[in-house]
Amino acid sequence: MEKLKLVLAVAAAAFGLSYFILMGLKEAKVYYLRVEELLSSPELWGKRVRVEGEVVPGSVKKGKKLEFQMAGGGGRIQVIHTGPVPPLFGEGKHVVVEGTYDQKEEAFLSEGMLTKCPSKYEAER
Amino acid sequence: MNIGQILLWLCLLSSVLASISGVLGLKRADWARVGRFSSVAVSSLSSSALVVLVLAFLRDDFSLRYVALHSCYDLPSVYKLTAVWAGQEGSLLFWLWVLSAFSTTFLLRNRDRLSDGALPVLSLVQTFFCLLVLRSSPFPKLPFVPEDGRGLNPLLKSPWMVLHPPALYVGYIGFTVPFALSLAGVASGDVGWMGRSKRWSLFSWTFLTLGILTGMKWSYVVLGWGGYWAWDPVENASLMPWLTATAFLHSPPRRMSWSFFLVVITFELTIFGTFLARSGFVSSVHAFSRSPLGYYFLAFIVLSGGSAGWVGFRGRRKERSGGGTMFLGGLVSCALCLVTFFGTIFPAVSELLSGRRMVLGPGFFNTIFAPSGLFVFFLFGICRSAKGLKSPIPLGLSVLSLYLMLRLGARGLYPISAALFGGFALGNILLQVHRSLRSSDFGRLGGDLVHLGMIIFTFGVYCSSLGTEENVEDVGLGDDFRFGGYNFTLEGFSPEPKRGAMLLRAKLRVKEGREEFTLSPGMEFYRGGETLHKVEVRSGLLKDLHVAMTDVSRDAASFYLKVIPGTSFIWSGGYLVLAGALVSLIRRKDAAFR
Repeated sequence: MEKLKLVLAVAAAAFGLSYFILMGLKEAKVYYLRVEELLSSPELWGKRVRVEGEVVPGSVKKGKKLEFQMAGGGGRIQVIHTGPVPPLFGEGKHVVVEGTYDQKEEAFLSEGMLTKCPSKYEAER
Repeated sequence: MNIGQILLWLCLLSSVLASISGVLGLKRADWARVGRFSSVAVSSLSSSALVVLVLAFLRDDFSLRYVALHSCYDLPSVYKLTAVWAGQEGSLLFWLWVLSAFSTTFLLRNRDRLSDGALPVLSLVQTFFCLLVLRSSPFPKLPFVPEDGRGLNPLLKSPWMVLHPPALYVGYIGFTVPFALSLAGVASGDVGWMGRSKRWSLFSWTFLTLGILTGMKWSYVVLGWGGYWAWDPVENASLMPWLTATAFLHSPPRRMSWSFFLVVITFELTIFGTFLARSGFVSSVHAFSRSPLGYYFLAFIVLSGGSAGWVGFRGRRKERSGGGTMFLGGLVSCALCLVTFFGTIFPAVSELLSGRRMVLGPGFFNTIFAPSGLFVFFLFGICRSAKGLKSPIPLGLSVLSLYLMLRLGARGLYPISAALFGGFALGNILLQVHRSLRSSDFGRLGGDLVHLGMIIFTFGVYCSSLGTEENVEDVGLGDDFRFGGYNFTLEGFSPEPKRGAMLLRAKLRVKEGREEFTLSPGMEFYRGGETLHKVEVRSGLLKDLHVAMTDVSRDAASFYLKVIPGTSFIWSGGYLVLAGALVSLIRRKDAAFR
């Protein structure tokens, strides 16, 4: 009897946990790509992805929206960013943008941006 | 070869000696004495090495590469001190020093067979860190002496950053002692390890909590612009051992294997956290150096975890059941740790399996933590509640908070159930506090305060994650705008010269109802070309207003504004948790602090 109870409890917990994990996965899973990977995967255009790259020096234009070019691994894309710009954004900095690649505009429409923060240790060597 | 480097080699030597004599001491007690003696030597040598490094920082000895990279003449003395652990080499030395101080304290206060058994474990862990510090030492000299150092990263110049890293390290490292105790206890069949481990774990847990809280606060005011938790791998790395340690603190004494498992896993998670931070295994917004050192940690986890598993298997006994809500709370805590672990390594695993890197946004963690928080409220509501269920207070508070929540205009499943469960939990915990106070049971009171703090904290988290508003405004000089119930006018700019930097502040007049105040968010331009944003926060009881200046020209500026409700509950709840833990540490008699 004790054993049966235990097995049932464990099964219920495992079921509940995996249900929530699957829910969470469905909700929040996005591809994380480098610039050239995005350019070479047309099947991901129009889907929500995160892209990592370096802000090309001299390409930043600030208007109502922030526009800049992002480069990584030989590829280069135009990024149009709406929303807040994080504190460490700047030319030559590594950033991660989240949004979709628009084929017609030939630009990445970004709605969220993270900067790589050198908070504790030296920059990558 | 300089003095620091020599000290490190001597440190390694005595640490190896301590490990060998510690192992021999398991059979013969006089060897254990040699081991204890060498342990004391390790801590004096590592203290000396640390002093050498601290002095090098305070005296601006830029001939040391590490000092030149992390300090400069202009740096205020406090930050010269904190710069000691601003980089990998220094933080590893700091780690070794704290570890040796803890093991020496432990060994000097205990002279029984159980501590003899813990000695080789402690010494072996110490030896590992000695090797790491030697591999990545802060003492190599530069071939020339630079005129000035590179200086400390401006983001680290914050009082919260003075506290955050050492608190976190002390929290992490403290779990080594319970780990050693549990191995010694299970291997020798001495059940006394549990009581002693609990006290040490509570001590470490308190520091880990302090470390996490100060990190959140730093992110809130400096880096995150009103964000205090981003589910970044490095943040998760500190949360995971906190969760398993919480589970251990709630583990009933009779569940020996479960407790053993928790102590071991907590220790391994502290090492895993360091591995995550160093290896580049998962990418983090914290750009760490991708040093090969990371894989030393992984190897250490495999070795120490493997041996612990072997000891646990050899020393296993029939597990007794029981523990009620406390045990259940521990299980939830562990499940959350598992989820966090999964979410943290998911990017790396997905890349390994599918060739494509996928990441999980905060949404993943929130979908799981939000309902779990409700369940924890439920457990708080029924724990030790034989009398509580008869009292009308929990139910009354539950109804009251539901009414308040609806009045505030919140709708939806989460606000309503959070109010219902939260109110009930609050009622029950308040009853417990009252009972502990009346019977002057301060040991119990500590735990009750921690729970009360957690309720307040969680309430704050729900509020802020459900009700935050943000906006970006471009404003000309003299113009005004509205946001979140406030009226803003940009009145002007004021430059302030600073040491090594130029600070430009905006004067922003803010009106809310009849209240009027001025905020001056600024941007600091450093010589090296870095800019730092000085965020202004207006904190109130119910909501905070954050203003950051993101761009500035001669007669206009852009602002990023955020109104966040409930954060005062997060901090006050957090401080209450710390206070409760302190009361417990001082007054709890059932676990001997030895």
